[in-house]
Amino acid sequence: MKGILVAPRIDDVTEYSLKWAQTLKENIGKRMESVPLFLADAVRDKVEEALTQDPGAMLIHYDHGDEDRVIGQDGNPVIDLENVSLLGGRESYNMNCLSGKTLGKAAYKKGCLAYWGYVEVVSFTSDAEQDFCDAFNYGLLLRLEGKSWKECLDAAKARMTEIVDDLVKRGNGLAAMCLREDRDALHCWGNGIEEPTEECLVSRFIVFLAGYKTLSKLREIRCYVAHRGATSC
Amino acid sequence: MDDKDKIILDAAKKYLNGHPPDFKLFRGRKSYTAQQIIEELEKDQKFRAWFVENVLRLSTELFLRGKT
Repeated sequence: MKGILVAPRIDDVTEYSLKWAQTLKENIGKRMESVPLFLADAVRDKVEEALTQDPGAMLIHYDHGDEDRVIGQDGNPVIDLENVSLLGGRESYNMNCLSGKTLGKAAYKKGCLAYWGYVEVVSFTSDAEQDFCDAFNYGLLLRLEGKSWKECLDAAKARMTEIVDDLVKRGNGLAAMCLREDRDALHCWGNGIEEPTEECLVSRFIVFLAGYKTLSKLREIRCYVAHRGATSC
Repeated sequence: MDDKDKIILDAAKKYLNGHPPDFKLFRGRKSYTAQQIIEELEKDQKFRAWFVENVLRLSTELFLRGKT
């Protein structure tokens, strides 16, 4: 198996996620041939080129995303609804905010075999950095042991619950609170894993009438208004 | 702000006051020091709602699992 590992560093949040991606790369070892696209290489052109060259390779992305995109070093999307078909026929492992919500579902519709991602904003705390690293990397490491994605998802959520309990025991309630929320926001869309449905009736109606792109545009406007101009969460 | 929010916010302030200055909470693209969390809890209704909801969700889960 081959993995294209994309990790920008554009702010203090991605300082952490880049470290976690580097830890992941070390832990992957020889179990997966990994192609690191870190920092300046974590941009759309290079990601598209790598995906095109390796049609079966897994895409792994560590941080910053929005409902319909995941972000690169230049702040622009590396994958969005325009090029999501590149995820068809491959697996994608995401540690970023929200992309499971729309992009992951769109990827599933384009034939993505498994889209691992979070449907809410991801939170963590600096005083439990290693705990969050373990939690966010756990699912992929299990996959490389040969487990099915369903087994990986169930086991990753169980591991996150263990870490939550451990954080509580250590008196770190705030980290426990964040990781509990992250755990519940984690999904893995794919045939026989979790098959996505649009839960909101209004969203389903918009998708039915005008398609995912229109829904995505409306969500983008909502995000823009809510975050006073930020292009991603 | 209702009584439930006040109870949780008072507890959160006590909890956060003991945190070192380099502590940070990251949520999406935003980061907050312990002092900034306290300020946000007081002035930002959305942030407060997120915080209170997640304290309650964690507490409920621990309560139901019999953990303390």
